[in-house]
Amino acid sequence: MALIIIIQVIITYVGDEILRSKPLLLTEWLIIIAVAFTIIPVDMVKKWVFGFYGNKGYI
Amino acid sequence: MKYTHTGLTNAEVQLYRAKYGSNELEMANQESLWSKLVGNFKDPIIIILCVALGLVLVLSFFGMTEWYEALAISLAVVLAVLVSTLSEYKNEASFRNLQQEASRILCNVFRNGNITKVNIGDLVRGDFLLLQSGDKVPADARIIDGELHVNQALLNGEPESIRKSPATEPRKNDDSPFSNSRMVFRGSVVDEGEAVAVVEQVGENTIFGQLNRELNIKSERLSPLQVKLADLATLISKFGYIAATIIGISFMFNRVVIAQDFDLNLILTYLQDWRVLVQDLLNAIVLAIIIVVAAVPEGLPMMIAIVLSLNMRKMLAEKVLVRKLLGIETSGSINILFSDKTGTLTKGSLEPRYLLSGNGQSYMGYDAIPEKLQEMVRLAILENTFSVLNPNGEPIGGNSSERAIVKFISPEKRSYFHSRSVHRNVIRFDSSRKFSATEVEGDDQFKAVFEEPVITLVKGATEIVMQNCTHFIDETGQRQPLNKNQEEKIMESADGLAEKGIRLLTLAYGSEGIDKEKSIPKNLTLIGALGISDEIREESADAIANDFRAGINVVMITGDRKGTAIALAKEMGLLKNAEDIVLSSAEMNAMDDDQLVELLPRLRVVARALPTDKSRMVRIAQSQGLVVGMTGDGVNDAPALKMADVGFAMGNGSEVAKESSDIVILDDNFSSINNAIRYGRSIFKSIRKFIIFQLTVNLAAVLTALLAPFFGVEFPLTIIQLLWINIIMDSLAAIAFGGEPAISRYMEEPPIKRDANILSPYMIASVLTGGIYISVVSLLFLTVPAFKDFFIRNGAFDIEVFMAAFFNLFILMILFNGFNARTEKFNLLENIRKTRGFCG
Repeated sequence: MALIIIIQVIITYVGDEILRSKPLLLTEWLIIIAVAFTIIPVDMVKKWVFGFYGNKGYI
Repeated sequence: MKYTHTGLTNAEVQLYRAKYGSNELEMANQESLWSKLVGNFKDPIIIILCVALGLVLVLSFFGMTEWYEALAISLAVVLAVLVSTLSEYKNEASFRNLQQEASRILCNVFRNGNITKVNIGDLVRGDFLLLQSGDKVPADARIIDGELHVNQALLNGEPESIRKSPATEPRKNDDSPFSNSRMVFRGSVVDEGEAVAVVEQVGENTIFGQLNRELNIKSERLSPLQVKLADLATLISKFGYIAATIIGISFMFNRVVIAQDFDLNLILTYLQDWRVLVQDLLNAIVLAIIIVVAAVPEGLPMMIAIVLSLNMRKMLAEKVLVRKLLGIETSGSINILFSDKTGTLTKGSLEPRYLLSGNGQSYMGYDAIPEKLQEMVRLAILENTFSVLNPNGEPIGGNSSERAIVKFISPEKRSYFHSRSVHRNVIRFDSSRKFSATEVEGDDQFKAVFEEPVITLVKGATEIVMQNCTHFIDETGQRQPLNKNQEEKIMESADGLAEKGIRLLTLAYGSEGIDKEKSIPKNLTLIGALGISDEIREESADAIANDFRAGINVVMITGDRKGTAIALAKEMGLLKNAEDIVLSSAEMNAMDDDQLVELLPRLRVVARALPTDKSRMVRIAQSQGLVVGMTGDGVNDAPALKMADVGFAMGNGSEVAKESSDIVILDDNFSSINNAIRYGRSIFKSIRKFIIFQLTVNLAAVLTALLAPFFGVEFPLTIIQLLWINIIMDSLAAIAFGGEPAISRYMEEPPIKRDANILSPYMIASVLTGGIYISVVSLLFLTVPAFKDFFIRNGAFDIEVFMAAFFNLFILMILFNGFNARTEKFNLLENIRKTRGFCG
């Protein structure tokens, strides 16, 4: 996973036209990280709801 | 000690290996890296990508697209094929190597004047083999001493075993080499007997070697889980094709209708410019193709091989050797586990602690026995055993009880044991006879002790041998008549000891020879009974408790008397409730199947068990729809191991048992069986986690690409971006999830149903939550003006920066969701340190 992130960051800076990419500023990174992170609490809610279903709560 | 041969010296071994070749066989069907590569290029997805590449080339030729788009697609094609081929090849190869390494077979060979264990690959022509029942014949060899009954079914399909001995018998009137009564052949199995044979052909020159080359061993058929995964992949692909068509159409609709502001005149003008129309049409097709590529989870059926090979090393470290893929997969579903006691639940070291003589005297240890009796015990053990001593006096071969009994004799008294006695006839110990015997024509030393030229030595279960005893040896070594009173006393103490988990093995001798029926000789004189205790493994109690928590019913199978079995079972925590049932083999045989079915859920112990009982129990449990695990080590266990859903053979067991098994437990330990089950469950879960992760990505990508054009964003993700996402999902993520550790928490859940759908409700909910949430956030990010204010360059909104940020946002969401998929618990970092490859 770390490998994916590293490659992803590199692409962002060198990808240019091919990957339709542009270097981002730190604040811009922080904004997208913050927005992306919301998926974790959202999934937590799903897990919490599923917690009520006993056995069906297993993966 | 029946046989002594000098065998070859190390120098001779080297010489013969150079001259006649080694005994290694080449693996027949290894798919080469190249043929795999070609095979993967035929993958439908790759073909679809190649079509896309062709279209894009045409477009760029007319200057309608950039040249790098074609380059990127070809790069994606090559990369996808290379990554999948390499990882598949590497994993398969490492799986096979490890499997081969761990399943190396050893055989007993005389070399440099000693008996040693040698890897069968290291045998050379001219080696002296010692073959015993349960061995696999490692090379084509000529028998020079002893007698064997061998089964050659693997070679000629004959199920009956045939006799082989040094004697020249008239050849049967057929050309088959297998009817040669002096030769044994690689690949056949020794059913009974013991013999020394000289290797005549090795490696590719053996008949088995030639067959092996011609046959090209069949590849393993697909396991149910692989089938389920392939079915799921097909289902999702269909969904992908439909979505791709819709996306293609909506792209055109967007171009033709929405982009013209629904103005009929503008639409007509647009349609008249065929160049633009064709370009848009081709773009729509390429887009649709890319959506197919993104949506089809082509890595899914491969997943199980990756997970397995990633776990192979870890499983080997925990003493679990997977022989068949199906075995580890099914072990996660086991709900009844039949386990041998000796050596599995117990240490199997079987320490003989003392000798109980006919007049009720007990002697702690060999040295405490009076001289004359001591010598009798020594000869009675060493002249009636299938174990062979190596130069250090350590017993090799024979069964575990035999090795243990030999160890009762002080090491110095056994290491110099040489006898010139002749063994005229033998009865081998087996669990239905419950005794073994050797008819000995003694040498001087032997005659001096037993005072008769020919006697039969008997050892076996106390109640069997005692029935035929008329005399006993007293402490001065004199033969005395045995009265009823003394006999009862011995039986009583046998019962008493049994309650403490100590087994008695009785030694006796008689002057009657061994008859044709191989029945136990009459008029025996009791030498004494050895009290053997077998310590319970420390891990067993925990492992049993663990299994019951995991919804697995454990049944102990033992050759012990009921009393001994109950005592041990209580100590292991196997018998806890009043309703728990202990049956002896005889009681079981008195019941019909229906009665047994009713008792099965409460059955905990089968005492005095026969090998045939195992097959019956497997059959009855399976008739109730249970997934059955069975352990075994002997030749007799092979049918039950084959029949069970998961057959566990013991690392120390016979080669035949291993051959029939799915999984080999290298350290014979019951708790390692638990590890196998834990891995079975974890592997299934890892695959499910990966599916959650991958399907979420597919759903999110498709939904975003489908809906964004309606919000004015034509290509939320470019073709190349989608390909990049596809590559991370299929290869890197599979490795990340495959490295998940075997989690003990999964042993607190009920067994996975064998026919369980690969998609659980939890998974569907996860995919829907993640997929929909990612697309909604994507669309909001792309359309809500507030976000755009953050992406300013040179004082104005920069669309290129904004779209680059969006691509990163999408990837980050996918990655964060990877942590969500790892566990159903709230602690997303659970076991993260143990997960090789998730972070690194």
